[in-house]
Parts: sequence; structure tokens; C-alpha cells
Amino acid sequence: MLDRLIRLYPARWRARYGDELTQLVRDLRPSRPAARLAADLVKGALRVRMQEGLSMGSRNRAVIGRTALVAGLVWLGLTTEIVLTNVVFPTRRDNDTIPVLVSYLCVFAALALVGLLAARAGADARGQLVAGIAAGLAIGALTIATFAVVDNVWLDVVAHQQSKIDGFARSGATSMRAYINQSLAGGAMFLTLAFGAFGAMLSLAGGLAGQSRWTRRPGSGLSDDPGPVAGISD
Amino acid sequence: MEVRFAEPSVLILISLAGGPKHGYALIKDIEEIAGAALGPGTLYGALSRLEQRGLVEPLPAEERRRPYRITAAGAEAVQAYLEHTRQVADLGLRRLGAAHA
Repeated sequence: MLDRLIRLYPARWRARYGDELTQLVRDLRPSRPAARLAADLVKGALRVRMQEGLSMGSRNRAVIGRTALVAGLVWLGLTTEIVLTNVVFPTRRDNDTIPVLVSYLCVFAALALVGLLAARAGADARGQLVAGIAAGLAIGALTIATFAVVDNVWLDVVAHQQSKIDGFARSGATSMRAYINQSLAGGAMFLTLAFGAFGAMLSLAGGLAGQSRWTRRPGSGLSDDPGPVAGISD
Repeated sequence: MEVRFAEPSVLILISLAGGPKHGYALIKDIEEIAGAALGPGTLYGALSRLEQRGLVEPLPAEERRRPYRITAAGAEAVQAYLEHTRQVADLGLRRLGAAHA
């Protein structure tokens, strides 16, 4: 019956300590009442489960926070680049190959950074993968949304780009606005999915780098332990 | 009135400071030094947290009994804790002495 109570502990914890705990319970059984041992095992299992839950919750929050921060900073950078090259310093030729190339490289570096930061926050490979995909999808969708806003708000500026004039002439669309929005709608799916796929690959690579460089520092605190520091009971 | 000093992790570290021990030996040693009868769940809950923090480390198992030993970080942590506790205790005893004088 006491052995069965050990199943109350989380599987991963049990795989590491289960045999030792079972042996200890058997060693103690002749000298302690079964009910007292059972109560302590149940209390211990609840505490371990609660602690694992808390630790997982705090790990997830850290990964989500870091992923959102990186994706947000990248989006902010891309928005600045899009506004500068399309609105503030527009060119008729729309020749922004170098800024676009640099932007892509920054996005890829950021996706690897998401994996690295997730690994450092304690996420496993699955967590790093999810963080990378989420960051890629978010960056892709937000970038397209930014283009949609910029192109529609400053249509009179972007409509002078030669590439857009040529595209509009070939498209058969009824207006420049309709042509631009059709193009964005087509590109939205491709860019978002492509960034999501790159996010998956690069975050895993970044996670591997993070795991190999990260050495765990042991904590020095004893304060998380149960029980009073110097408890006095009647 | 029963007086219970310190939490399980401190008692475990103090016990391991005297040499490596497995679970049953730890429980018996803690009973002897502090009069506290730790349960198996309490002991292993604390041991697993101490191991995660690098304050104790496992040694090769002898059948199903695995001995643990205190690490340098564990010794440092428990020493700092005990010195702090001693300062607080000294202050408390002085105040109690003054109050009863």
C-alpha cells in the first residue's frame, strides 16, 4: 500500500528517486506506523507536484516574455526600416536591396536568439521550437500588417515606386490600392509561414548553442524549503 | 514543550557535513543530533531540491540505497545560514537575559 503511494509523485521525479524512496519506506516500516509514513508520503508528493508546477509556470513565463521581447524589438526595427525606405526617403526605383537583406539577416539572428534565450530560461527542445515558431509567425504577420498600414496610409508616396507601377500595369487590378492590397494578401501567408519555418530551425540551432554555453549555477538559498526556520511547536 | 530547530534541508546538510549517508542513515543521524523524526517524503523532497541546487550530490548507489554527500557550495550555504542563526540566537538570548534581569 505504501509503495503505491509513491506513484503519487510526478513520473520524472519518480524515475530519479522512486527506487531510493521505496527502499527507505521499507527500511522505516518496522519502526514507524504505516499511517504516519503514508501521511508523510502524500504530503511530500503534493509538495513536489506543487513545486514542479510553480517552476514550470515561472519557466514558461520567462520564455514567453523573452520571445515577445525579441519579436517586438525586431518588429520595431523592421517598422523603422519600412517607414524610412518607403515614406521618409522614398525612391522611385524602390531599390532597397541592401536594407532588405540586412533586415532578413537581423530577423534570422533574432530567431536564433529566441532559441538561445529559451534554452537559458530552462526550456527543452520542444519549448525552444514552439518559441521560435511563435516568434517567426509573429514577426511575419506584424511585418505584413506594417506594410499594409504604410502602403495604404502613404499610398500617394509608395505609388510612385517603379516596381509598383509596373506590377499594377501587369495585374489588371482596378486601382493601385487594390493591386497593393492583393499583393500583400498573397505575400502575407508566404512570409508568415516562411518566418515560422525559419523560426523553428533557427531557434533549435540557437537553443543548442545556448545549452552548450550555459553552465547551471547552483543556488545558495535554503529558504524555499518547507518547514519553519526555527519553528517552535507545542 | 517540544522545540524543533531548523528546517529539513539544514538538518540534512548538517548531517552530511559529518560524511556521506543514504536516506535511512540520514534519518537516524538527524533523529540523534536534532531529535527530529523526518518522514521519507519530507526527506526526499528536501534532498531532491538540494540536489537540484547543487548543494548535495549523489554517490554511486549501493543496491537501492544511494548515499549523498555535501558539496562545497552546500557547506558554504549551511555555514552562512548557521552563522546568521547564531547571531540572531545570541541577540535573542541577550534580550531575554536583559528582560529577566
